[in-house]
Amino acid sequence: MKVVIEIFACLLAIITTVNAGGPTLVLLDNLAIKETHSIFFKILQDSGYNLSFKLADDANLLLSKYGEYLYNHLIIFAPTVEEFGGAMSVDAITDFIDGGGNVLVAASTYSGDALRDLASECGFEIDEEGASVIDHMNYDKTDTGYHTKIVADPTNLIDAPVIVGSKNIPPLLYHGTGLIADLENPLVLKLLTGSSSSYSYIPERPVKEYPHAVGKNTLLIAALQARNNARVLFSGSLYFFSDEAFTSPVKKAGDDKKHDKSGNKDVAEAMVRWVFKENGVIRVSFVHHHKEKESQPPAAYTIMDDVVYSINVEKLSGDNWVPFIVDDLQLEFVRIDPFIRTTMKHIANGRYEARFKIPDVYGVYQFKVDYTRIGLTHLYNTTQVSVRPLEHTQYERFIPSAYPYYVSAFSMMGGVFLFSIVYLHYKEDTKAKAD
Amino acid sequence: MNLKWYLLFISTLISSSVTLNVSSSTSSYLMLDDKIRIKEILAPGLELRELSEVYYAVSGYKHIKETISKVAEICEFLIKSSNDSLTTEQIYYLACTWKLLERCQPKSLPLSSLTKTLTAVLEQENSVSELYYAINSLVSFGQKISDAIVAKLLRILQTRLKKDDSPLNLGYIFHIAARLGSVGNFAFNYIEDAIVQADEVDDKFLQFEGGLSITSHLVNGIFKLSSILKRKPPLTSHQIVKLVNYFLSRRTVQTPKGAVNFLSSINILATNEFEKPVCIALFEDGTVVSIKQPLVRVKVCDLLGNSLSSIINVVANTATKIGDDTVVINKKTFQSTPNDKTLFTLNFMDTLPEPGFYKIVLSAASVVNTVSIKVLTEVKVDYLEIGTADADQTTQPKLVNVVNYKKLNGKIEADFQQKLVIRFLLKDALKNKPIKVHQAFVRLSSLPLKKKNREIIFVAEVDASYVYKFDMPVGTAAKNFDYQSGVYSIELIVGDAVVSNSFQWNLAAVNLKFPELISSEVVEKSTYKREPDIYLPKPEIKHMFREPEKRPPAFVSNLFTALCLSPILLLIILWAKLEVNISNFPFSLNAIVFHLGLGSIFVLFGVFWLKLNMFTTLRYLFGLGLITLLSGNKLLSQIAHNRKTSG
Repeated sequence: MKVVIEIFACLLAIITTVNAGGPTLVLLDNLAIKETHSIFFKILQDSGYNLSFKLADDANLLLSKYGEYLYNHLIIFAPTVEEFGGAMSVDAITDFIDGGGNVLVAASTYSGDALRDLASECGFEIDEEGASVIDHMNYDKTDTGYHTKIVADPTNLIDAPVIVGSKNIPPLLYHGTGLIADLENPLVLKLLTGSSSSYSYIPERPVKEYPHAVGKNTLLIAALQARNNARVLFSGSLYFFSDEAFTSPVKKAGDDKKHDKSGNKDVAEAMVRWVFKENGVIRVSFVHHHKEKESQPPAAYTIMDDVVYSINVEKLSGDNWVPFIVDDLQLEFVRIDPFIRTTMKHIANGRYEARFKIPDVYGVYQFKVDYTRIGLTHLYNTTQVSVRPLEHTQYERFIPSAYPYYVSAFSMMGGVFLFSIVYLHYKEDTKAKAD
Repeated sequence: MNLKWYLLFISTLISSSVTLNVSSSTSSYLMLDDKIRIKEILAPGLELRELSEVYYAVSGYKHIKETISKVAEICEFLIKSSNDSLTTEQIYYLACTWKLLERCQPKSLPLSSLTKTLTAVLEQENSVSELYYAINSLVSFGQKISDAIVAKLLRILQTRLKKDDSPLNLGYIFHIAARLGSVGNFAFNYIEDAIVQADEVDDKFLQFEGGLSITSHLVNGIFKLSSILKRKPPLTSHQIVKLVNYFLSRRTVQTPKGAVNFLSSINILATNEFEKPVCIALFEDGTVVSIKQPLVRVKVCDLLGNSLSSIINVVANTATKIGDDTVVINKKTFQSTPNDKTLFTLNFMDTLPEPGFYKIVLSAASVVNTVSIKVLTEVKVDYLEIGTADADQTTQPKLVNVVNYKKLNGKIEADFQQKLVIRFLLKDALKNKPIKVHQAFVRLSSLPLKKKNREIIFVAEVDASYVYKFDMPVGTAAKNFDYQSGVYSIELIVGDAVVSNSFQWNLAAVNLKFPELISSEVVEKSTYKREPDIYLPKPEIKHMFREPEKRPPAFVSNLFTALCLSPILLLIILWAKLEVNISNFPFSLNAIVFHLGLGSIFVLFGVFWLKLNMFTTLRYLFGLGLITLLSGNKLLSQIAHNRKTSG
């Protein structure tokens, strides 16, 4: 009985680590950040994250022990750190990402080398030291300096509700540096960009060189979903997550409309839920394929069979998996190259189905579902089947244009039969004999 | 947070100048907004759920001088709670709330039993926090502490002091010592020990490890003790200012406990009798000065926003422009405002300063602070010309003038051998003097009709005579446009932090004609440069089944079928016509078996074609063939024999 309970407890432990929440390491520049960003941390704690706050240069930092990661998630709110303390390093963090860990990083105008290195490992670049995103058209009324406290329009958010939530929110406050994304890297997602009039430069210096980020290419918040589904989010602004930004009213200079509260809290909450994999996690729960009018998969398909393929897809919602419903799930039938690619029909409860005729080329094929969408984990499922050619009895038997051949053969046989009778038993006409 | 950023911002500005000013005043005070926000945080505590929350709410309300509406209900709640078994901490909350409310009737409170519990706590060797709660509760209930207990406490505290000098422990001891009155003198010497443990952040803040609650607890203890002993705490005025700066930076605190810590420390510091920190700050939008709003408004007050009788005038010692250190003001006195004693103003535009950022060193009585202001100007476009020229610069550019903020009629045509040229001059609208701005960008964007809205931004260069130039050779810029010829709209973006009217002006439309891509470049672009977006559904693929071979029409095959049948039909017809005589047929077993055998062999072939495989066919054929062979042999020999006999 005791053993059973222990096993049950183990299972329970596994289940809880799989789901949202879990141990999270928070690295800070100084402990004041814990207080100035208390709303953000409270949101996380209320949703079950177990936050451990450490200074980024703490000499006892440890990310993994005996090859096991101690944390599921990592938050780095330490813009100015030049070098991490203890066993923590940029390499350790990239290993953590390679191991499937999620990382949330906030930089600022003065970002340290550690963050720069980490950013370039993830496909971003942080603009040079001292550079701020400036926007002389869209700055907050309270900005009495260099117009670096900018008001970002929610329409500049990425078109992916799963990451940023609703776009119908008050404007966002942003104060920090610009990010530059590697355009060739398709895994980098531009979550929030500046407006056309924004640019990233050192505010105190006149613009002599072309700024590193201009217009809509100015990235404010960027994210990366690695190929192993680990998620990394980079914000150029630590201020974006602060209590002050969450609670401040927003009033764009030169615009009479005043919003009582910025949209930062909504967006930050949606983003953190995404980056820590509460949102946008999908999986395949069931795959089945068979010939039409049958119910079990055959040992091998024959070319030109009609086949039915079905797959169940689920998404994570809180602690439960619920049906995932979209209209663009595609199935490929692949032998090195795809022979068929078709959009599957949603039948019910996250069950999708495709019906098609197997090509007239035999070989080893795969049913492949490869679903990559912005903000969702990568769904990839293959089922291998062999397709063989027709057996000799399966070819067409009565071909109209071959009828002359059939007829000649059988008429020959009939002829021989008849002729043998006539030839053997022919009796000379007696009349003729009489002649 | 706001303050921290602000200060960080100022500190970066100042770092370039030679002297680092250590200000002896704070730059902020407890404002009305803060009070409103904190009231919201505290309000839930009045729903009477938890003793601690009620205490925070009541105490916070007292600090911000809000009236508490339902005193009677709170009293009732306290009385009800007092009958439960409470920890010392809870009794402390109860006692303090009780005392703060003032209007509760003490009759119904089981005062004697509570006092007994508390005295018991004091008599045992409890932790300092327990002692702190107990002694404060007793004092709040108006109880006297016997000399025996005081003596005992003194002993305990002194041993504790030697064991543990963490800020938290020291804080408790200072608070207890303050309650003990003049005998608490022993603790006073430890204040210095506590202060040295404080961490300085950014040269602006002084805080203790552990954040707001510990800093506040300790600072309150120090000042309470000092005021009881009437001795000035060993804190320099700079240290006090830094502590205040820290507390003010925590004004966005979100928990009721934090809010009360914040308020109590600000109150204690604001009202302490030794050194009252002064706040010299720019008033609301006084940080931005322009011709419309020429006044620099300075608010000089204590931490709670009240006026200070000791300060009657404020002097701007110097005002220097950040960047080139030109001094524009020297020793100028601010004017006081008649209806607000805390407000002082100075007309900064009197001297017609250059637009930019200025640093003003203010002094009020003995207190000095540095504030930073911004002088705004308005920009106007003196002229703007746009046109095209040959890329090799052999001819003068043909330029047309564009009227201010209007769009040029018609389209500009530019092909890849030409370049697009814009020249413009920006002037300060007030002084009518050419100026440079931080942002002078030219933005070319494809018209929104196209699916992909492309924008390319160029930086206009400025020469020594302040004329902005923008030259774009169309041929070399083609790469930026991905060789997409078409109509683009040209916008001029002019912006600067010291310009009040930054603008984005849609100048004109231009039709750009780029050279055709060389085929090798096209290939390079199409194969691997242009990876399809991995996040979009891929195009569907349908398999092309092999076309069946073309067959002759049914009529032809039927015709030939008939032709093939015709010989046997002809044979049968002719035989029928000839009335072929087969009466020689011997009705013997052999003959019938032979012919049946031969027929069934042919039928077997037919069945083989339709159904059977070769091996079964051969098996049947072997049987049939054997029978047919034997019977055929017999039949033939019989026929031969018959012929012989008849012949």
